[in-house]
This record gives sequence, C-alpha cells and structure tokens, in this order.
Amino acid sequence: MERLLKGYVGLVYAFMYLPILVVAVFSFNASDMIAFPLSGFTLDWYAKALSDTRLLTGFGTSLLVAVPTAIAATALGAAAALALTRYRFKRKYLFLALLVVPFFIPRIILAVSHLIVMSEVGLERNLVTVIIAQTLIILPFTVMVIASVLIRLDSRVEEAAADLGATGWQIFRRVQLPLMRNGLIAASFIAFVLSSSEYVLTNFVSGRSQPLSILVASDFRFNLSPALDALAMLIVLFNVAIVVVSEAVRMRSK
Amino acid sequence: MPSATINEGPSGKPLLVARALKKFYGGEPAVRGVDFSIEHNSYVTLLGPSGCGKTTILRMIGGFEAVSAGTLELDQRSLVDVSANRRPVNTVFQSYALFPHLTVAENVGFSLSLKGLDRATIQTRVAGALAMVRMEAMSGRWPRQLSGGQQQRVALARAIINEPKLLLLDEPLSALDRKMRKDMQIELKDLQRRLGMTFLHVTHDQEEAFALSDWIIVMNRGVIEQQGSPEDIYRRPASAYVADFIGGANLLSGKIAGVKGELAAIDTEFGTIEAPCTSGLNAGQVASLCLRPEQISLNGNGRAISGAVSHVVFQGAESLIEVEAGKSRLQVRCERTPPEVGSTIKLTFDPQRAWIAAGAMGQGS
Repeated sequence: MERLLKGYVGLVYAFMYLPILVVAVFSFNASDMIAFPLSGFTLDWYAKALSDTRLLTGFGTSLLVAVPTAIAATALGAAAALALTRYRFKRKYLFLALLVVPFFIPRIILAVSHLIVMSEVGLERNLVTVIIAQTLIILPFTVMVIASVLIRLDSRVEEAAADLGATGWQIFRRVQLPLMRNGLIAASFIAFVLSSSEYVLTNFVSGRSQPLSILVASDFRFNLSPALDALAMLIVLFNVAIVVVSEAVRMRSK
Repeated sequence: MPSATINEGPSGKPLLVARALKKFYGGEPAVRGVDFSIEHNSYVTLLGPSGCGKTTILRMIGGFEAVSAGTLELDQRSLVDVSANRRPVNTVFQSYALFPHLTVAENVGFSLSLKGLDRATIQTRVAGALAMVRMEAMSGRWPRQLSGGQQQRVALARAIINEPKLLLLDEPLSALDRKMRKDMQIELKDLQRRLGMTFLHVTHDQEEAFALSDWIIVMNRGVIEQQGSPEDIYRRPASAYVADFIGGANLLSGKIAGVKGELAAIDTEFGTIEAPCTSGLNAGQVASLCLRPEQISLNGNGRAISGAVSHVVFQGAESLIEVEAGKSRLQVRCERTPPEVGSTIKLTFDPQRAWIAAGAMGQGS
C-alpha cells in the first residue's frame, strides 16, 4: 500500500516537472533542433538569450509592469484583507464574493470585456492599462494570502494597543503593519510572479511595448529556437530566486 | 488671587458607577441591567460562571464593547461615548495580548512612547514598572521567550505604567498552574495596596475572589445575585445560587413558615427550623437552609439529622464525608478517623449559625 502511494506521488511530480526538465535539457543541447537524440553540451543558447536586445527589452518591460502591479495588488489586498478580518460591516459576504468572482471568470472573457470598456472610455492601450488589468486579476490572491496571515493574529493585541492609548492609525502603524509584514512580503512576491507570467489578459490590453511573456509566447510559435529554452530556464531560476530571497527575509524576521 | 486647586483622589464619591447597565448582542441579552459602584483604592471582583456577563461588563468599561443601555460613569463623567484609547483605564487581558514583535521593555513602554515622551524618561519608568513586578532582568527578552507567569507580569507592568484610575483584569490567572496562581494572588493584592490603585478583577474562581477582594459582585445569567464583602457573601448569601456557588453549602430547600425580624422558620424535610435569614423573605416563599460543611458536627448538641455515610474523601488534615439523609446529600468535614462507609451516623448543627437564603437550587432566580 505504502509503495503504491509513493509511486503515485512520484508520478504526480514526474508529470509536473518532466516538461521543465526537457526544456532544461534542450537549453544545454548543442543543436538547432529541439529533438532527440542529444548532440552535446553548450552554453551558447544562454549567451544568445542574454544578448538578444529584443528579449532584454521585454524583460525590462516585464519589470516595469510587475513591480507596480505587485505594489498596487499588495496595498489594495491588505486594505481588503483588513476590512474582511478586522471590521464588522453589512454585506461582508457580498464584498468577499465580488472580490473573488473575477478569479472564476475565464481570462479570455475578462480580456475582451476590458478591451471593450477601454475603447468605450477612450483609454489607450499601454503599460498602465496592463498594470491596471493585472492588478484586478491578481487582487484575489493577495487578499487571500494577507487575510490568512491576519486571521491567525490575535486581535486582542490590537485591543491592547487601543487600551494603551493608540489611535486607529497608531494601531495600524505600530501593531498591525509589523505583524502582517510577512504576509505583505509573501503577497507581493506572489503578485510579482503572477504578473510576470500572465499572458492572456496582457496580450489583449498591452500596446506597442510588450512584456517578456508575450514575446516568448509569440517566439515559441513563430521563431522556435533552443535560445527560448535557455530563456525559460533563466525565468524559472529568477522566480525561484525571488521565492528563496522572500523566504529568507521571512525566516530572519522570526 | 484665588489659587487653583486640583481635586485628586477620593472626593467621597465612588470611582465608577454603573446604573441599569445593559448589553444585547443582536437582541440576546448578555447583561440585563446591573447597578454597582466601585470605591477608590479598592479591590473588586466580578465573580460568576462563564457566560454570566462578567467579562462583557469588563469590556464595556474598557471600551471594547458599546453600552446598549444604562449609564457608566468614571469620576462622575460618562464613559459611554469615550473611545477605548481615551479612557483612563487599562486592561490585563486573559491571553496577556503582549505585542509579539516588541521586547519586554518595548511592550511595557508602549503607552509612553505613544505619548511621545523622550527615551530617557521612558527607560526610567519602564525600569520602575518592571521592578514592581520583579521582571527587571527580562527587559530585553521577547514575549515568546517568557513563561506564562512571566508574560502575566509583563502584561501587568504594561497596564500599570500609565497609572490608570482603574485597572481591569480579565481572568488574569486562569492560564497559570495552581501553585503559580496562589503566588500571583498574593502579589496582585500586594501590588494593589502599594500602588493605591483600584483593581476590578473578573474571575470564575471563588477562592481567588475571596483571597483578593474587598468587595465581591456575584453574577448569574446577566444579573447581579449579590454584592458585598467576602465575609457577607460567605456567611449571609442572599440566594441559594450564591450559597452554592460560594464554598459549596448544604442546601435544604422548603417553604418559609414565618418571618420574625431577622429570623425565619423554614419547613424542611427534617422539620421546621428557625435560623437567621436574608432580608425580604415572605411566608410561603421557597427558600433554602444553608449549612456549611464546617457548621455540621458529628458529635455535638443542637438539631440532629441521622443518615448513612455514602462517601469518604481523604483530604489530608481532614476528610470530607458525604451523608445520605432523606432526599438530601450532606457534606460534612471530619478531623478524626472518619466513620465507615454505610454506617449510620448522627449529624448535629446549631440553627443560630445556619442561614436561610431565598430560592432553591435547580430553580431560576
């Protein structure tokens, strides 16, 4: 029974990681063809990916979108999470439902409707519209991450602060904010990773300057090369590095 | 020039006065209209089982719950519309509620740093408050590095540093073990005397209430059953509920046959017994004769009841004997070798030392 269970777990992980492993293998393969048999080891594809100015510009654009999106989604998420966990108000469940509903709407439908509204209002497609659209769909994730931290915090601590003379702002600044710091860090990194890998919505609402995810997707279709595998591995490494750094920050703060 | 006088301390008026104080939670009454006052420089306990409304009263005084109806005045000023952070009242919370991200010294100095006092002043006063609770050595520690008893002391220091007019303590000792609880009781009482501060302490533990209080308010189901000095409450319980809740009395219920001044006659299953009584009793009313275990003896004079020994509980210096007599089970203390289980014995008591309280157990009051 236990062997069966272990085999099953192994299979699930294989299914998850085998495709990434294949990409990793071909990123080091000394051949133009993304096909077996392998023909030797090379780092040329990494060199090529890192010297491609178009891709580097795309990476820069991704950062220009992901950083403000992460900040906005985290700030708005924190406000919503505080409202949900710390205040009594009417129609709280409606408030929560409206927050998470976008998560259940197919991205393509959201994308098209965003486009329609933008053209009706007369908004031009640019990086700002990408940031706004991404923030909206990432918000449910940041709210949940921050709310899960707030729920575990003893709200008596906030009562104690009020008891000792703290105003609403002082309670937030001196007690709630430091205690929810880990949640804010985790939420902002999740928002950053989600933003940099978002494709469907970004594809629709971005204008002339396109983030890396759009460039990579179009290249995979029209300009396939092992350099893209190398780029994909660099992105994976970058994201892992972000998670490791954020966890390290979290551990040290304990 | 007439000199300005600052009127501090007792002016003959109580520190806190609650009148017809009520609290509803969505129509459900938690506090059904209570009246009490708290004198300056006294140690008062709100005593009752969980759900009796005692913590709700404390939270209304602290400013964490809104008052539904009635008045609440501190030094003759209404507290009703004053927010928690503006009340000259501080609280020691049941779970201590120390700030986990601040050191012991920072926790204690929290209220002073909110006021914008300079570092040196804060340091001096924090050291003083920590010395009061004998925690000077721990000032650099984090709350998670402290034991329950130590956290308790820090919470206490944090609450008294600002010299509140009234200190609220919400079941502060309930998380401590028995030995620690006894030590802390003595320290709390001592601290209250040394500071000359008024303490209002919520507890469900009657021993704790007796050990600490100048004044006890006994609560049951959102109302005050009785308030008075510990001795009053123990010797002259107003109701069967109080007699039973405080110190485990033997209660013989029956109807009042007649009242004559401070004495009443009650028809019990062991005949009519005349004893001192609580005020306001009328003939025909259901009441209970209260006999404390120590008021019954195994070989004395006075009224006698015979019964069979059903249990003997060894308690060290003495034994607690349970006797079945008629429909009643009576508990008696015995300092000698206890009688055999099953043997029939004669219990005697002096009716002049017994007490008749209103109502009977298992009956709404």
